[in-house]
This record gives sequence, C-alpha cells and structure tokens, in this order.
Amino acid sequence: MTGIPTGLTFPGIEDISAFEYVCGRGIEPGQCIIECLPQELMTNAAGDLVITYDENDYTVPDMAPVEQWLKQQDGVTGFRMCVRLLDHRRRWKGGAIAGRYNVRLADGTVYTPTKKEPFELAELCLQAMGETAYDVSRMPTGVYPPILWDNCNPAQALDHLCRYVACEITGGERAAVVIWPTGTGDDLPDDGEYINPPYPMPTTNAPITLLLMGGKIIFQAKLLLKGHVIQSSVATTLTPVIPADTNWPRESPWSLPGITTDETRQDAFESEFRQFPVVSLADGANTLPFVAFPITAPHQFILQNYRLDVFTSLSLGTESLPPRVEGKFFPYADDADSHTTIKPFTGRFLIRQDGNIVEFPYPVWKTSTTGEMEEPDLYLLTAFYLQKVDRDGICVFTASRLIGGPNAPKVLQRPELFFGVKYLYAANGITIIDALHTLDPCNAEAQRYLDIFTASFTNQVMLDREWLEIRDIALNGKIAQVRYKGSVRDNDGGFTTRASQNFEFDIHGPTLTDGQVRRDVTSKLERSCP
Amino acid sequence: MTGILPEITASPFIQNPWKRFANASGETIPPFSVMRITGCTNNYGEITFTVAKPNSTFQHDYLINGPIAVRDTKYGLGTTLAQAGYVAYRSGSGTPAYGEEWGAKNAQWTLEKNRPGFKIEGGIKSTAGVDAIVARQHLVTDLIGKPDSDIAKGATGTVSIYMGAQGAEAVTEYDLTCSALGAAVTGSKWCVVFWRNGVWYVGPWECP
Repeated sequence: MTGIPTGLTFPGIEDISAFEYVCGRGIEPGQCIIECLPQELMTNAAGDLVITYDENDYTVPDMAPVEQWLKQQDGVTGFRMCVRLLDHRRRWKGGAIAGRYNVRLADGTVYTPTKKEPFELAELCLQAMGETAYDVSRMPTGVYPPILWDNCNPAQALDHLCRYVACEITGGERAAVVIWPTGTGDDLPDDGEYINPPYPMPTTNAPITLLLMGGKIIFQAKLLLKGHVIQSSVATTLTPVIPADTNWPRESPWSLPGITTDETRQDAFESEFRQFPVVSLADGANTLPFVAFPITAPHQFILQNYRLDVFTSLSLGTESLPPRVEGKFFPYADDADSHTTIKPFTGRFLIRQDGNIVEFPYPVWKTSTTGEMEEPDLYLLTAFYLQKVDRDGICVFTASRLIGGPNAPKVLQRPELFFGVKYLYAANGITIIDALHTLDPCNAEAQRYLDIFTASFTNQVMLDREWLEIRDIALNGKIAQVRYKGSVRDNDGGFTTRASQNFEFDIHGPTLTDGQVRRDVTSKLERSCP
Repeated sequence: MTGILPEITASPFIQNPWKRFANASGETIPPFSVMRITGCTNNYGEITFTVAKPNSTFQHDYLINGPIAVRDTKYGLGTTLAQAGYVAYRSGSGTPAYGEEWGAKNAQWTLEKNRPGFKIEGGIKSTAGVDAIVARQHLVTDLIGKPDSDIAKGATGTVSIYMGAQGAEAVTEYDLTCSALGAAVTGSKWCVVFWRNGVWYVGPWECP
C-alpha cells in the first residue's frame, strides 16, 4: 500500500528490501528471511528486528543471523542477498536439567516430598533455560506427570511436559514465555482490513473417545503355598510332583537316603521341603474384589518382591516392606511342637518369580500330634499383579470419556496411574473380609487428564486471516502461527500479517509437527528425558 | 506354644550338634526317645548310627532322638545330650525333678527313675504326645550289684546289677561279666562294679 511509512531494520544489515518472519508455538525458533543488497556481514551478533509500519514499531527482540546466501533477482540481472535470522528460542538448544519428581509409591500414590504440579515443573525447566519472564499460571493442576530428568535438555523437557498435559508453549520469541492449555485464549481478531474472507471450520482432529491406559493394578493378599518335589528320572526330564499325603517323604530331608541317583538327589535337595509353589488365594477362592476375571490358575499371579505395607527408613524415606511367609510349621525350637495357629515365619526365604515358588534354604515342615513330619500350612503375603488365565490381559487401570469426534479413539498412555488394593482378613487369617485401596486419588487424577484433553478438542474452530498491515498477534492456546511479511520494493506488495487458529498454514518452515518429529528422533539418539 | 518366636537360622534346632541315625528297631521311634546304638556306617560321607530299642544289654550311653518321630528303616537326627535337652520319660515311674538321676530300661524308649545315665535339669514338657524332661547325659562307668556266685581273686564272673531309690535298690535286667582283679568277692554280697580300659571290674563292698 502506498503512502504508509514502512521499514525494517536489523543492526549490521543495510539496505533491507524485504522480509518474511514465521513464528509458531513450541520450542523451535521462528525464522526470518531478510533480503538485502549483497554486503559483507561483519558481525553475527544478536539484535532487535524492528518492523516499522504506519509510524508504529513492532520489535522482535534478540534475533541473530545464522546463515546467508545469494539469490538471483527474478527478471533482473544481479543478485540479492538473503540472511536467515533465528529468534530468541535458538538459545534453548543447550542447557541441562536434572531432577526426579512425582515419584510413585508401591500403592500408586505420589510420594509427597517429590510432588510437583505441572506449573512448578515448567518453572524449573524455564529457569534452567535461562528465562526470567514467564507465565505458567494457566497450566492445569491436579495431575502429576512422572519426571526423571537426567541432565537432559530443559527445553525438550518442557516441550514433553506440555504435550503430556495438553499445553502450548508461546512467547518464546518475545523472551516472555506464556504456557496456554491447548484450545484456550482469545480467537483471532476479527477487525481490521483482512484480505481473505473468514471461512471457519470445525477442527477435524477430535477422537470419538479418549481412552486413558493406566498402569498395572497392584494387589496384596495371602496366597496358599503347597510343597512339591522335583524328580528327574533322566538328566533332562524334570517332573514337579506335588506328593499326596501318603507319598510325602517320611524320612530325613537332610539326607534323603531313599533317593539314590545323584541327579535326582540334587533336584530333590533343591525342592523337597524347600520349594513351595503358589497354588491359589489363601482360602482357595477364585474371585477377588476389584478383579473382573476369575482366578483359577497359579500362573495368573505375577509375584513381586515387596508388600504394599510401608515403613519410613532413615535414609530413603518411605519404603515397602518385604514379603512375608506365615503359617503352621515347626519353628526349629527345642521341643517337637509346631504352631497350631498361623504365625509369621522368622527365617530366610526368597521368591522365585519364574514359577511363583517360595524357596527356603533349609527344610520346612510341620509335626503331627505324634511328632511325624507333615506338609506345613504356609501362606505368602506379598504384592502381585494379576493376569487372565489365558495370559492375554493384565489387570490395569483404565478410564475413558466420550468425545464424539470423527476419528479413532485417542489413547493417553499414563502408566504412572494405577492403584493398590490391600486385602484384610478375618480372625482365621485366610478369609478376606475387606479391602483398603488407593483407587480414589488415582481415578481423580485420571479424570483430570480426561478433563484437560476433552477441553482441547471441544468446540475448536480452524480459522485463517491475513491483514494488509502489520498487527501484533500474540500466539496462545488457539492461535498457532503468525507470519509477518513485507517488501519495500514497489513491485512486491506491502506489509502483511497472516495468522491461523488451531492449525498451521505455513508448512515449509519448521512447523510444530516437524519440530516434534525432529525432537523425537533427537531424543532417542541423545537419550534425552522421557 | 507361647512366648517369643525364635529366629529360625539361629534357633536351637539349628544350633544342636545332631548326628544321623538309621532306625533298625522295627517300629516308629517317637520324639526324644532313648535309643540303643548298634553300629555305625558312613552314609554319603556322613557318620550314621544304627539304632534299636534299649534291651537287657547294658549300654554306657545312648543316643537321644530329636523332635521328629522316625519310622522304621527311615533316618533321623539324634544327640548324645552332652548339652542339656529334651528326653522322654515314663510318667508312671514318677515326676522328674531337678537333681534326680534317671536312666534307660529294657524294652522302653523312655527313661526310668533311679537309674544311672541322665541328670535331670528340670523343665517338664508334654510335646507331640511325649512326656519329656530336660536332662544331660553322662557316661555310666560305675554301678552296684551282687555277684551271682563267689568270684576268686583274678577270676571273672557274672554280677547282677542293682538300681533304684535309696533303701529300695532292686535287681535289674542287666548282668555284667566282671573281673575280680583286686580281690575276691562273695556271691550275693554287695559289690561295686566299675569300667576301666574297656573292662568291667568288680570289687567287694559288703563284708563277706
């Protein structure tokens, strides 16, 4: 447009004739291509890019030239020089951040000394990025993403965090970062003289449902143990035998004189009175509260080496207690009496997770009323996961919400969201009468994630406008990309501003999507933070 | 069972110096039984005693079964009770008290009162159907008895062994062939019997 004063300045570059600056959300720097007369650039120092339009100056601070090349002028002999400038976000390429936050205890709750809301985590990242001006107040609360920063790039960590909680990073080009929940913020202004007519359309990225896939539910219950003897008749054949009462060895378990083959003796010494596989729940029931499928086979239990009961240690804070064996057994005392009520076993044992076997380093038995050796009544109290009998599914926490969009379900992988169930027992020690669980905080956090992502898809409209002027358009949770363009040559048109809402119109520059792909590849190569 | 549960790996059963034995008695040996050693073998590198029920042949000492009943031909763990431990007693013989002496008897797995071999420490316990008492065994090398007939100085002869409470000493099932090396002894008179260098000797105790 004629008659409106325009201009573009950048320190150290003279005779600028045209520019195009594309700026998007995220951590990738926006780039500005300046056209000027060929000249020797004596410095690559950073400076402010000042766009003058109609007596107003629009300043993009802290740009820096990174590249230059010559371009032949269309229809004219001679060359123009192009210089690429990158905005302030180029400084986010370096730096390191370390820390571990939102650590989950064995029951799925967050360990309080490590608990941080997303905005607190974002602050840590921004400070590590060297930023002093930022606004993270709009970030969602009530969710606690798992953080393990092992000296990784803080900008990438911030980017991953924001994607985890459906937020957008804006303002980096102005050195005044503002983090917006996706889909929030002002719409594009609808005043001024814009070139293209406004034809908004609903966004097309909404899924039919949101499906949150949590972690494995952890249970703690008493499990029944039964002794077995591994007997091999040949070197390579091992047959686990759970002997009937009449076949239970009535001889010294320390010498096994009735077993005369060396290999068989070796197997028997490892197993007889020493190995006790898990066979069922303590009372033999095949259902559990909070479990949707029946428990009919021992392999459904995926045993762990801890209980959900915790204690406070001197050095590490809250820790899980180890598994416990209890039952009626000979306590290796002076007299011949075995326990007649269930007592805790006070010796050493280990859990062999291959085969769900509790193994003792010495024989364990029970004496009858006449002092003869019998199979002991043993129970294992430990934490475990549960899988279906056909091994085609593990009990996990899930949550979902109907969105109604045109696309397939969107899965939110949140393995840190799970809950623990600890069963309580009657006086007989083996019948379940109640359960303690941590489902409520787990479900509350899951519902918050669903709220966050539902809002990012709901009632979103794509819009694209271009004005015949320079307008200062701030990016936000809706406004995804802005392009400032201008030429002072008479034949190349005036200064324009183009901005898009809920999509990116410029696919040639470093778009948000391209940046995500690059970051994903880079993080895999450089082992950056999750 | 009451009281404080022991830690298994440091428990009394683990600490005791057990010896393996093979039951050749023809019957199940109850816990804490008094067993007669009849021989010894090496079983997979381990000393294994063969045991049977006490009989009418006098033994200097016995092996005491541990807390597990052992069926015939099977193996168990026993101890000499050099350290005190549980041993079964026959309740019909009385109630053991600290300081008393009880000992083995023909055809029973249990101790009998006023017989040599076991000094009572106390701690009666009924366990696994057995009446048991804490006792400590010692080697029996001195007895009393009466020769069946006169034994000349330097000759050998049979002595019937007597045991029992003071004033109620009675003949037992045991007979010993003894040497009257030092002096002649008179038949049916009290004498002392003692074990030296693998030989039973007899000496006069009651005037002829």
